[in-house]
Amino acid sequence: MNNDFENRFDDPQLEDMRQQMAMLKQKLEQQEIVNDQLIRESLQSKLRSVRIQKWGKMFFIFLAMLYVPAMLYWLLHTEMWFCLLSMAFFAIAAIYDFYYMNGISEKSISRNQLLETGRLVARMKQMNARWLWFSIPFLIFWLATLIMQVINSGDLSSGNLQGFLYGCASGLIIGGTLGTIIYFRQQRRAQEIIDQIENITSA
Amino acid sequence: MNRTTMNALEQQFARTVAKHKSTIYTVCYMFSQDADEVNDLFQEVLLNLWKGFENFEHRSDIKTWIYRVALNTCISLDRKKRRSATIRLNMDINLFEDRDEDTRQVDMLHARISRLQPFDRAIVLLWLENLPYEEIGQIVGISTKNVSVRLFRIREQLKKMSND
Repeated sequence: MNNDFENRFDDPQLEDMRQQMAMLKQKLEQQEIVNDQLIRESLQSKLRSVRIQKWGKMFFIFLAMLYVPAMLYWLLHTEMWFCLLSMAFFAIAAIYDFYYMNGISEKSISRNQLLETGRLVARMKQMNARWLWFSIPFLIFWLATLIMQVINSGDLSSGNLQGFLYGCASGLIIGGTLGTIIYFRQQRRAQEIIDQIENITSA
Repeated sequence: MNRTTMNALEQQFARTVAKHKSTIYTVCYMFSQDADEVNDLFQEVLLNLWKGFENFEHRSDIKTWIYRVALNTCISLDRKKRRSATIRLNMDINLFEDRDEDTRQVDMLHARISRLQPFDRAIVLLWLENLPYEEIGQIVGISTKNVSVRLFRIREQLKKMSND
């Protein structure tokens, strides 16, 4: 239990807050909020949705790893090394996503202190942002190589080639802009968390 | 784990949640902006509690552990990836919309706490729950002395807010 020294602040505002808290607790105690059945339903459904999300993501990545290189090779007639490089990129993205961007582990949630969890969140956001440092230049290189290979193959008519180039340019501009916005936002969020932690620990 | 043990564990878990429902709800409420978000957070906390329940070592009080899991979940959940709530909580009141005097008071508390940074929000919430400084320190990860310094600063901040 709290001792008097810890518990008392000679401040009417904080005392108000204490009373409001007591009021909230009283209101909540009168409510059922959850019963056995709701708890079971919620857990089963949540566990199912987590499983579906995990397997859905893996299925999508696996499909992309097969479909994109196949499309590049048979439809756009790019060289084999380029198809393999695209496949490798998907594989690296999947591994990176699995290890670094997949949220905080259940063990950490259950055992860590709040600031430690905060540090993990900040680290995850920074890893997310760092991924863009690699992926954006790679995708620019990838797109440039794709354009070069399609032009060199001479398979597309001039009308189709123009459409293809417009498509690539739009993708580059939209993707680059979104990537940059996401990068700065994630870095800012990570920095906010780090600043708060430093502020609290240096008190 | 066999089915009988699983059922016994589920029942024990349901009893624990029922006993501490208002604690879990309060944490979720203070980290939410609307009733849907409370629903989402509540269920995420339930899920994390369930995942850790079997391995809970009883080295700390169960209430302290519940605070730890609830606050860690609220701090770490990415609000951009909005989860879809699978159940509706069984409540006759809506703390975000009801307008009676009591709810207005609770809403004032929510408004004050929401304006604080997430870690300060957690500290003041634990203090309002009458937890000793030592326990607050253990949950947050700072020293007892640090808790008292931090609470003093939060108090100044709250004062400044009310003067604005």
